[in-house]
Amino acid sequence: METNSTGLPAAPPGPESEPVPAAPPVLAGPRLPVADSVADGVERPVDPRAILLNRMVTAIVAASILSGELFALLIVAVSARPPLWVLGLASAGWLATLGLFLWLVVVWPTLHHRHQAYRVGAGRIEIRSGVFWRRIVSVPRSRIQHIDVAQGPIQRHLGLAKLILHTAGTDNAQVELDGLAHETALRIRDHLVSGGPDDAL
Amino acid sequence: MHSDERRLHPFSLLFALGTGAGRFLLPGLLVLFAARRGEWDQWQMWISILIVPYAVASLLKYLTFRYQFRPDELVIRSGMIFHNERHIPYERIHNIATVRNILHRLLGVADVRLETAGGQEPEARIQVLGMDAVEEMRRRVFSERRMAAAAAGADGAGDASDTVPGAEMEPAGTTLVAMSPWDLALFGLVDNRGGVVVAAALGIFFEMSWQFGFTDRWGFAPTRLLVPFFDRSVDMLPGSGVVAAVLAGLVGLFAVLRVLSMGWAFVNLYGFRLSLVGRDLSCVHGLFTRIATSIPLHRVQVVVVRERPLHRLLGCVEVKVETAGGGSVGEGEQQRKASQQWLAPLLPKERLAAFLSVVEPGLDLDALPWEPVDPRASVRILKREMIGAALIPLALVYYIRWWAIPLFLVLLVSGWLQSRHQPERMGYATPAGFVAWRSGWLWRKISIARASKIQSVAVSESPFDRRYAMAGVTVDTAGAGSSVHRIRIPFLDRARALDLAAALAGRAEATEFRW
Repeated sequence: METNSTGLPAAPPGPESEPVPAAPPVLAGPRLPVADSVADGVERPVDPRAILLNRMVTAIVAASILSGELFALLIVAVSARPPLWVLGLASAGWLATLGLFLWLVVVWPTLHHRHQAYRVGAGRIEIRSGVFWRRIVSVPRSRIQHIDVAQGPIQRHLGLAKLILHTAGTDNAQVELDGLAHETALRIRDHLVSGGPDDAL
Repeated sequence: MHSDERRLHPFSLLFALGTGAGRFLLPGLLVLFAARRGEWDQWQMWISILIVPYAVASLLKYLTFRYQFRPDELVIRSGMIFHNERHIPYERIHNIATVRNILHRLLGVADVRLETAGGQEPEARIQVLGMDAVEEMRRRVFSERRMAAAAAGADGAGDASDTVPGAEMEPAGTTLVAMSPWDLALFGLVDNRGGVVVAAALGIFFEMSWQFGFTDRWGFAPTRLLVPFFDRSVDMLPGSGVVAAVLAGLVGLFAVLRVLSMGWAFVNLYGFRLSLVGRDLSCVHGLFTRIATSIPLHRVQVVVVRERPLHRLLGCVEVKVETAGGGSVGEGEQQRKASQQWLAPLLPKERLAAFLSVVEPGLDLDALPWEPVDPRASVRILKREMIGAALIPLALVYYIRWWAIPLFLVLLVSGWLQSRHQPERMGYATPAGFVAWRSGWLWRKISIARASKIQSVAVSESPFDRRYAMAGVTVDTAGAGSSVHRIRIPFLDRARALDLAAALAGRAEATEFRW
């Protein structure tokens, strides 16, 4: 079985091998050329700025948790005056949490990014994610009920967006792809939404 | 050509008292009575003041309810202060379900629920209509629906249908499954719904015992009742007292649970009849509360066939179906109504293949090309079971002390047996248009779904999978929320898993999905 370097099999010839027509010029606003750049069946990683996004979010969470812990520690140390070994244990716990968050901020984002990829084919989208528990989800285009492009404040600042595919399934009722460049997310959405004759809805 | 506006049956008032805010009306009146006698507190007065207008408002809603048959749609209007008008196109109505409890049946009325296709389609609950009004509704809706379907052309359900445009009455339909009381007793024996009954009874018992102070010093009610009973029974039994009492207790518990289960089956599934009417499955059951629903064949997502050890003893199986579709305005698709229903609570095994070919046209159960999982699955199952055999007794050793050793041995043997037999019974099949997955050694299950019902396909690898270069394939379908057997195929060779996932995704792409 021929595979490319990332381990996914080469894109099988789909039922329609002719190029996807560009979206009809009905909607207002600039419509970027869709077919060639997005739906080429090539697997690509998400935007590298996603690593920065991950780091920033984790850093914010880490700061709030660590400062809260430190605050609690200080209050307990001052008011309750526990024995030294308890203080030592609590400080060791705080340092362990610090170490864990350092790892989460420095090492984890690159690791996570390396194992995240997507591929948009003519009739479906495949999303690969997960470092230890790895998953590749394939969603046929005709099964997508609707698509959201979501942006939090940090994502807006970095020009990134999250694509959320809604299906009628149960476990995969929502399939998410975070860390895409905003324009890429919009293009993927437009490609997946612009229907062919075999669309269900 | 609009029909006249129809109103609810006059008895709706009676039923309005029984539901929702109406439930507060009677207690509210009782509180007022108590007030007359001077035995009331402040809060009771406030509650009665607040409840009455709420109850009156909901009563008004029932009184102002009216519906009308228009050429293409059913229009339902309700409300006096806040008007609500709901338009339901006939072609969207997939099911007219009726629920009739004893009172409904005595009075000749029914609680009607219109269920619609998926998406932001409205649905309606009409309480109550007389049976002739229900018949009229069924007649109008389904004949219009058939005309619309015939006009629009065939839909993708996959089989030629015998729609008769403009037919006045529903065709009689062919009975697929009919359960006699004896069948129900067998079902109750096999299924063990007794647990449900006992859980409910325990709940009520706990509530009441708190009320009446019937608890021991830890607040645990059943011990006050059971311990004297236990002591007496130990005295009654000859010989080695405790062990015999425990065994007798277990046997007795088993028997009681099965009897309760048979009772549950009798009350809930009495007169179970499943028939095929056109392209809908129509299902009727219930002793006191009679429920009649219909399931369009194309709303069937997954069919699950279950075979417990007791089933095998009787040569029967149980067939359930997962359906989805139908929603209300304003609900997200996650809340789309999904249900698991019985198609055949108990079916002789030799009839299974024929039955399935009716429910899923084009499926030939006996000719399914089953493919096994990877042979290394037995090693992995063995490892998993060994770890469990080691850890579980260890965790429980505080409670069961030296009993942990026999427990460990039992788990060891059962784990070894499972690793031998389970992989043989695991298999998947991908005939044209379907995907099937079977698993289980003693408790066997088969799940079958059409390719057109596949929503997404996932390949997953745990760290343990990666060590063996294996992966699992999961097929996601609609309405599988409380499924007993999701289509999750583990222990596949990695390359095969990727091929399978690609093939299934390709088939899903090539088919159309409709609710």
